[in-house]
Amino acid sequence: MIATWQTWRRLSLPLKLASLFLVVYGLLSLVPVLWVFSLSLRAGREVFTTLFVPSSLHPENYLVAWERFGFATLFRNSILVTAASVLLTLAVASLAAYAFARLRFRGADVVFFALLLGVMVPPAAAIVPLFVMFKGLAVFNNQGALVATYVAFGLPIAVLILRGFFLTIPAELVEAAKIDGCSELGAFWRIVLPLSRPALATVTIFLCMSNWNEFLLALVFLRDTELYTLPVGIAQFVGQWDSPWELVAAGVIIAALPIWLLYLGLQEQFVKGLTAGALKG
Amino acid sequence: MITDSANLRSLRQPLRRPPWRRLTGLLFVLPALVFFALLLLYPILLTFYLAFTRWTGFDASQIEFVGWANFAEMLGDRVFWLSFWHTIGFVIGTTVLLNLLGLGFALLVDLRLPGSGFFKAVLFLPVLLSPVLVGVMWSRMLDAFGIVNQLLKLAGLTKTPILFLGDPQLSLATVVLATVWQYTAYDMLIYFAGLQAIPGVLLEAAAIDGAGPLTRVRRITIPLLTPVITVVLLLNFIGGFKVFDVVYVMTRGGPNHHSEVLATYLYEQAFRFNAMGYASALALVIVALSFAVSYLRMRTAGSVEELS
Repeated sequence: MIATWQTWRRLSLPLKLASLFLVVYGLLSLVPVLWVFSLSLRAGREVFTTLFVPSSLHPENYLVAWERFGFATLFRNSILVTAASVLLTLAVASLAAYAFARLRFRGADVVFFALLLGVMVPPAAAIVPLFVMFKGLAVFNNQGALVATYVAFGLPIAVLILRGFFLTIPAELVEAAKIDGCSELGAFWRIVLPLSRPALATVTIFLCMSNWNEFLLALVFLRDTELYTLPVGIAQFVGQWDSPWELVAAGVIIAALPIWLLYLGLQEQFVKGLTAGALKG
Repeated sequence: MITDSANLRSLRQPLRRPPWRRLTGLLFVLPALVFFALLLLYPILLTFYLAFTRWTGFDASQIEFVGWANFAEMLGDRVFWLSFWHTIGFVIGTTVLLNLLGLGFALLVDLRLPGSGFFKAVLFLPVLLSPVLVGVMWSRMLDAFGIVNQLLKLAGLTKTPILFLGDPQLSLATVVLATVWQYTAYDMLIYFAGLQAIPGVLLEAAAIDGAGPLTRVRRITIPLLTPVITVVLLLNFIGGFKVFDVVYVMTRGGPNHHSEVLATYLYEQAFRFNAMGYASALALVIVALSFAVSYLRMRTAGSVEELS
């Protein structure tokens, strides 16, 4: 704090203003969050009359919102769907990426190019056939079908990032392991994967974020309220106009908080995961 | 001669992979291929087919092939054109604002002034959220009883509250605003990463030659940043074409289609009116827009690799 103050004092006037501007803009962009937080602690009658600081605090709003909107179920569903889809994508994508990086096989280029094109396909472009297919296969309104779809749409970017990383691992390491008696799968599992932790972390964060927040597919595929994931639950219960404002606000904070807490702990990884995914995609 | 070619072959042999190894490659790719082919490739191809049919989505035997009829209908459909131009407007509005703010803030943050750490951390918070949450927050903020109208009234600027989301002139703009609020830090961080790759020597040399800070930005930073700028522009474009969540939550495309975008119109056609053929044709418009832009992206891909 003192060091910051001393650097600030030594700055020229334009830089002082620039520094001040950053802080003020940062605070302003926090206003929506702070306002929602203040709403979430108000008594119902104070929702429309108070600007920022409520006269009495009502943390019990959080308990009411948690119960009323069924957050326990929503969190459980979102955690299940995200964990299953991300783990499955990682397993399937890392195997494929390894094959594209190290094992040449007939048709590899064609498959890889198709996969590359897949990066650009938005879910909206496939949603009608998927909806009809799942209905025909009687897996409509089924979280498994949603997970499988997330895997398919997460694969292209995951393969792309992992392949790029696998290419930087010296081939000698893999060859040495094989001379020592490792199978192809063994070398992949014991040598390549452990060395690829940074890339796996990047892909994991990227996939977790996009699947955790995904809305359109979940909205179309899930009909039973007990199956809803968080975004669908928030759109259908929390965001409804007949929901009391202080409960809506508490619901928003409840839904946002876990990710923000994770971000506090893993700030570097989050930034890397999200921007790396962007640059490669 | 015969021995010669036999020798050649034996020399070449070790370079070639044994057949079992080629099979291993295929086996490694197989699981991915199954997911990809069944749940991405096949549905996309089906979208192309369905776009030329009329169908309610219930009984496959009632799919009726209608040729270009859906596209012909589209040309005369007022709501399609509204959603098309709103999508373009959304894309341009968000892209311009996000890039101006993102690049500007990246340059400011790169000065490493006191407070820039706080700034970066705070601005990144909404990037992590689902657009659904952002939509819920902003629709309350902009409501007649929300903080924006409360402040406007306090400042004496308005007597009656402005219905941002219910105003045909304002609803799309509010959705743009919420999206810009959410993703400014995203663009900023990519630009910031790009700035780190610019050799400091160049900027120092220019400074010694008497170039002021603004000249340095204009003459050195921006030109060297061009590949990154292209990437961010295209990212924002592709993200914008498929926008759905935030519009669905904030306005449902309303009032009276005044903020309808292609994805929300597709959703309405497919899942309200069961017009699967027409919805598929709309999906193809989104695909065409994304691919047109992605094509440009692929042509600049070479310069992107170095960055990451």
